[in-house]
Amino acid sequence: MIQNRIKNSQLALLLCIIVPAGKLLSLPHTAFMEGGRDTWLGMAIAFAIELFAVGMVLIGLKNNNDDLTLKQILQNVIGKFLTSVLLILYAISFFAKFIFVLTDLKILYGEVFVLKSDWSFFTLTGLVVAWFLLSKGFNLIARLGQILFVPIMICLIAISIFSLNDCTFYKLLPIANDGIPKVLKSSLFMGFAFGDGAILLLLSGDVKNPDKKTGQVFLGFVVGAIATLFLCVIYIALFGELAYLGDIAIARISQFNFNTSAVGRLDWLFISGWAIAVYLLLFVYAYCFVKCVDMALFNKVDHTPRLKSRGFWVYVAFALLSVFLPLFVDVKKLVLDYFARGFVRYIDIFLTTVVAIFYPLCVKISNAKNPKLKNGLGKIHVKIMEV
Amino acid sequence: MKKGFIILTIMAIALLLVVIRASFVPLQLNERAIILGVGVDYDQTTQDYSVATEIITPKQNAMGSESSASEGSQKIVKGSGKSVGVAIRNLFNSFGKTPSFGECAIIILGQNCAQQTNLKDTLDYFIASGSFRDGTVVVVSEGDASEMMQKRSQVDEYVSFALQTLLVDSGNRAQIQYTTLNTTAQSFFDYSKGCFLNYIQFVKENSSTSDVTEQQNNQGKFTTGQMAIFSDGKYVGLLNRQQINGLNLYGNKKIFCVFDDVKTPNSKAFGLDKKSNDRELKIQNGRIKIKLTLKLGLKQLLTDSVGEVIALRRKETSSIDKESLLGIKDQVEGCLTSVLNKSIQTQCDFLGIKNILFANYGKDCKQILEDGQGFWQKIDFEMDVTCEG
Repeated sequence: MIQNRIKNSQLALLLCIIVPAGKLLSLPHTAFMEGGRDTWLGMAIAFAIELFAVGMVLIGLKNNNDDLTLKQILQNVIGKFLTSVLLILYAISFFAKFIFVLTDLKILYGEVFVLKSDWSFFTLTGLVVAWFLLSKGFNLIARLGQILFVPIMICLIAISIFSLNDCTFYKLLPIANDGIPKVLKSSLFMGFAFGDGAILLLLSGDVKNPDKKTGQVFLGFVVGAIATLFLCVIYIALFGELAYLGDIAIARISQFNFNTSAVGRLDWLFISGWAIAVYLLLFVYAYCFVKCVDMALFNKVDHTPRLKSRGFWVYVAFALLSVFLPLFVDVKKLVLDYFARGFVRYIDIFLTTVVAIFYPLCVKISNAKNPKLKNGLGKIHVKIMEV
Repeated sequence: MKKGFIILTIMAIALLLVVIRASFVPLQLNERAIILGVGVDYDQTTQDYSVATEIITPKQNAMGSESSASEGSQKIVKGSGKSVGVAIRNLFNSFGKTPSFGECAIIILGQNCAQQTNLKDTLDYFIASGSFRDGTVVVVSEGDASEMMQKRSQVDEYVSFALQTLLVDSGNRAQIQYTTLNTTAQSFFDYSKGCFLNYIQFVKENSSTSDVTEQQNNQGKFTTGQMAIFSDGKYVGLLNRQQINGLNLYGNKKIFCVFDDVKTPNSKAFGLDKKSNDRELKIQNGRIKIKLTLKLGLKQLLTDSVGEVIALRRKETSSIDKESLLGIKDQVEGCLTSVLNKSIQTQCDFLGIKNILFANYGKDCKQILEDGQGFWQKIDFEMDVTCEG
């Protein structure tokens, strides 16, 4: 039995909560420096592109008759060496995103709960939980997302609705007054925080019956995208030209959830609930990293890097890097300089968007190269290997 | 071999944890001074800022754990310096505890500070500092802020709480909109560059005897019925009650307003029950046309069955006659004209006219917006007020 396999509905719910998770931390305020009041428009464009990429991945997954992993598909198209290079690049991208979101999460807790925590302790706590979940398989993360979906979404909706009263929506106007290039520039800047299509790519082979109900997954992504965009609009409507200040957008938005001292810190309740979504995103990034390295460095065809034997050591390396690297390097600045503004962003966009868009084509080529797998023998072959 | 390796790994992790734990010194609650409110004053002669903070000091009990804030007591601690930042840093030197601003909910600017300094310089520290929440209430006090912070309300023991109760918790029923750090700071960056801040006064409790102790002298009530207006961070003047009503009626928010009955002013008054407004700002033939269509629903001011003055009892009040409604309409028009005249006269765009014009026209209206004095001479105001009740 493959413990990593998840249902479409689980994936849909997971996407719905993790899509906003990484984009409502420091992204709106850093992107505002690039796109000004049109940041939301830049985000809408980035989502539209990503929506297309996700749609293409889902088509690819549907046509992936023999549940091949990304590695198997890529090897059939571009060969072993280039596949390993691509997978290592994916791993670097996921690690950068993991460390960036984790740094933001620490700032979020600091800002909302007015506390200072030690980086090493903070990271280790998350890593221990991630280790436990990943050792049980990806389906545990998906199940956790399924269980916590309702409370997380309630918190997100509450954060946005309770802040609406203080919004001044004319601050979003005039639209694109500084020209379309500025809007596109902000879209490009935000690229590093997007690329959820790459997560789906990595899950290829892990989704049960990918040919059925893929619409659910698409819908999950669309709902997540709309929620993110809505919060971004609220952020700019609340802060206008001051949106460039502060660190964490959702922490600033949630401050308006309490207007009376009698109500108390409602924002604490909502942020605590919503932050679980950020943790789930981090677990997904950790899983993707381990899976990429595992597939790149070891030849064995496997859907499941379940942190046993080699997977464990990949995870240990990941954990050590996560704990110690930020102690010596300003990781957030590094990611912003290279992944958001520098040349690395083009590689990242290639990995997360271009590969995703061409994924159905890759699947088609791969299917054509493996006619045996098409008639179902492949499934037996894979199962024998797992046994 | 495998067992030994696992033991070694666990030992390595334990050692790592010990090293990390040793490098992390947590700050206990009793080592902090939890600040509820800040008062800022400015001394023109020494050109120094002084900061007075209202703090809660949790006490440590015999068992070594912290007691609740209510068991501690409120204290006013002061610091001074050339800038607000330095003055706040000096607070630390005053009491040794780490000032914790995370729960600070109000900033009171002394009258001198508001009038003699630029609001941008004074509030810069609070805006840039991450610990001050964007929704922190900002007010101007009559006299010095530090003196205001030593006054005692008849209802709340803490000044910060008393002012929040008056301004924020009343849910706009104090007939005034409360002003926050966020809205004030935004005015420094937008086109209007105008803002308003609540103006707080303290009314002493009447004492029948001439022998008044200092404690009794500080007892009384806080009131708000005026607004201080600022243009580009500089103090411009005060809005009176009529102008504040005009400001409330002009804005989109529904803030409670009270109107007199022209027929029987000593027996009846009316309150705002419903409001819908439509502001149209256009540039036509080089002139700025502001058209305000205001539809108000009014009710006679009464208390409801549970004794609350507001919300008004909708169905049980008799309808308001035509003459009274016309009287209310005159009052509304008077309020709106008065507030607009104040804005034109002081050339302070606290109504946000320029912001809305920029939102409507973008860069195309930049020339008109940057016309200085000329801008104010080009304004044509038209209003269409309908009162129902």
